[in-house]
Amino acid sequence: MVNSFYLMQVFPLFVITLIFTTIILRKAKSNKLNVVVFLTGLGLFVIRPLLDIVYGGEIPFNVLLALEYLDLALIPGLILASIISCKLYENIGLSEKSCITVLLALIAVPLLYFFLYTGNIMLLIKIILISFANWIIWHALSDILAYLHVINYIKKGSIIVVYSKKNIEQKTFIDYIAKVYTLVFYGFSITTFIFSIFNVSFEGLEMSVVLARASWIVLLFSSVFLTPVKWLLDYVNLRAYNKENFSLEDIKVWSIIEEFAGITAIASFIILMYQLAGAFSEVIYTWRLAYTLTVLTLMAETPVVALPVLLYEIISLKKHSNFILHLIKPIPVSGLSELENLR
Amino acid sequence: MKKILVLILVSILLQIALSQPEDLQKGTKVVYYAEYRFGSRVEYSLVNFTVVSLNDYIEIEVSSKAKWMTWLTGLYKVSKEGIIIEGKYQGKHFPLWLSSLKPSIEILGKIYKFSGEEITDSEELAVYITNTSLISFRKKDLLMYSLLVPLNETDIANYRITLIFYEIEKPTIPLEQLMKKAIEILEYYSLLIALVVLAVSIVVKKTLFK
Repeated sequence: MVNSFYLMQVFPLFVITLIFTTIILRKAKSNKLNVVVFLTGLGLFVIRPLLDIVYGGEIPFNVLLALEYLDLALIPGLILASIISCKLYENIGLSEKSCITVLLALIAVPLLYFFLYTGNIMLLIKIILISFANWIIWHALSDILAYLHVINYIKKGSIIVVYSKKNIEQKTFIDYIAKVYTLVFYGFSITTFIFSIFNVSFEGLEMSVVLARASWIVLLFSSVFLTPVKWLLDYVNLRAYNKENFSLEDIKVWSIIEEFAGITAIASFIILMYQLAGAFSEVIYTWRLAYTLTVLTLMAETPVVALPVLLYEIISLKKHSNFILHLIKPIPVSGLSELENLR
Repeated sequence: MKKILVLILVSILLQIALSQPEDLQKGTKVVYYAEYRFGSRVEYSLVNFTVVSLNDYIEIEVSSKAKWMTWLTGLYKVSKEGIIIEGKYQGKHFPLWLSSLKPSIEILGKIYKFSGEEITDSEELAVYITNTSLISFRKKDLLMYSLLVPLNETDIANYRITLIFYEIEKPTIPLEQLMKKAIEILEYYSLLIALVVLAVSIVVKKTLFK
């Protein structure tokens, strides 16, 4: 009965929402509309905790059914459609304001979501303080780490060059979402790796909370090695030119760190959520609980990364870029022919 | 190879960092070495003070294999100031705890005072000597070092028991608890650590990267 409800009603609504919204967004070819759809999808997440308060924790059955349609079909449909549509039109740029609005929503919606569920203002303050501490570490170390990283290339005999023409690539809100969720999944990937070293069992809701909190700490002390350094190096657009091999390569961040990010991290995160949900023996539909755990976990993790990303973009990025360019003094080149004349 | 070494090093450092419990915990066992003298007869045994629970009151189980320690063995409920709420021992203060080092101490309704020149007092140890008793405490943590206990028995004058602090056995804390503790500490100090990192980075930039 329940199975057929999800398979025959909720899942088709998700597919229909995804397809139709993607088609509409493709036709509209507007990145602003993409942002609006994304923000709408994200914002709808707070409906459930809001109704929970309105009904005093006893939501009527019909409303619960409607919430299932909303949480499992409409919201993921809208969010995925806006991301797919945006990926199809990556070249269409966005104003900085729109990108900042997306980041602000990624901070505000999860905080509101948790506040409505828990009513615990101290939890929000804790999340904000850890997020702020995360940015402070980024602000303090990213430029130094990026500089030391570039110096390694110079020591190996490479010449550091910079493309003299302005980078005309436009930002999309997907870039920021990618930065945020690369870090979120990276945090979980590292945390589960550490937990597996110590043979910590992943069982129970309490353990999933510990896991999320451990991930905050991991992000706090190690995220600086991944996103901000890579972001900074991409922003200054440096390349390492090796005269002996005639090779021009991007300056990459530490590969060992990158191993913990990417698609494998997403896969391990999904498996972990399923594993955690499976530990609740009384729950028959493990995947449904896994979905809830995923939403809760992502809500807990997102502000811890989105706030540093926002502050780094607004405050740190340009300063750090000047710091790197001032110290490295890369040679400006506008084409491959100029590279051959470099000494 | 370097990557593997880094991973091993990080794992070892994490293990060291997460394996240092400090607080008094449920299951902590304070072991005393007891000496019993009755005329020329001398016997020895161990007395264990095990923390059973830590709530508003501390519950302590006193156990020993020696028959001559049964006057003290059993379950005690003790306030955090060391006052006995429930338990067999008739003294006001539980033997392991003293709220402060005072010039006098009450045991079994008798007040024992410093007795002038006989007092030995040093940085580590405070010794109380009376006509019939000698009680000494490790000053640092007010832990009883040795005790000549006056008993609530008739032949008190004929024998004496001395307890000498032997060791503290800390309970094995589950790894999950250690993880939680470490996370709590790091969460609590996250902003402070970040500010220290920022201060160091500013100094490094001003001195090394002009």
